[in-house]
Amino acid sequence: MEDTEAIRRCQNGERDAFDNLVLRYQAEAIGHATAILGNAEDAREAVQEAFLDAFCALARFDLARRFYPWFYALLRNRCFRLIRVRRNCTFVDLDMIVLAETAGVSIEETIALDLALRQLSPEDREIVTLRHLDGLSYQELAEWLVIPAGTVMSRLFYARRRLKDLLSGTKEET
Amino acid sequence: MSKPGCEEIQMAAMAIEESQVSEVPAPLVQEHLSECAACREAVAAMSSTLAVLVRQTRRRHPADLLPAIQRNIAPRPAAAWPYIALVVLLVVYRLIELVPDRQWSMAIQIIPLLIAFGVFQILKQSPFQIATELRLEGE
Repeated sequence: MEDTEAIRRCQNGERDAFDNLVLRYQAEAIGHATAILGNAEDAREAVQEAFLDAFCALARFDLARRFYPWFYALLRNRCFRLIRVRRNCTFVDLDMIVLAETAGVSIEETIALDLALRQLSPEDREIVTLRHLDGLSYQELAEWLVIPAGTVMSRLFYARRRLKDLLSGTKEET
Repeated sequence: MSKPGCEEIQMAAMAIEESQVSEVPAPLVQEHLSECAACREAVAAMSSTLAVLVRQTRRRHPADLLPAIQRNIAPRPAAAWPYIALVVLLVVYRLIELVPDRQWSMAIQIIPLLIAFGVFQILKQSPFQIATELRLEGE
């Protein structure tokens, strides 16, 4: 079932149609929330809350829009609210959080990058991973993060510069 | 347009390298880079960081939220206690009415209205309210 059809059915009171949206996007959403929050447990909590927010707000959803960018705004609200409550990100997992082992990439390089990503602020980690792991264009980043395209360019620039500095620090240490 | 500074040039250079729209025209960026060694170095360093990033993939975490979400959005049966309370109160009122030589006049006559109003407040419903969330099919 297409997103639009599922949403239309939800708007007509068919709660079961919402399952399609959850099943389609929950894994992606947990990945995105983990990149912001720094641990998968908090991420699952934030994603669950965001889906409930989405369910309550679906009546007002404009069917001309795409679902996930709209949902992502709800998700990041939940994530940053959680960060405010916890007062920080908590990295409880010693394993890699954001990145996966990738064929053709050395594991040392991936671990170093994951560690560097953990040291970024949640906002920096979010924009860098959306750009480079999800391949969002500047225009899409502007839509997802609800900021002007010019702001995307500068935020991305400073985030990547901080990441570069962290990585060069890591290389010097090793 | 005023001449862009080094940081603006570096931002624009990265945007151009990634085939994104830049606010600074590409010829201006090229001209600046050909003259500024510091910017050339910064852009090259940033490019090598990006080369590391683009080879990576996002970790997949187990996704099992559906049962919990279904539980939360399932319709809950309406609580019966407000209706029971209403019946009890109306019966008590009727019994009070049967007491001989009552002198309570108007006060007692508005009690049923107060009870009904209280129940509607508890239920957060009003029989006189028009639903504004209704949408026409195909809207």
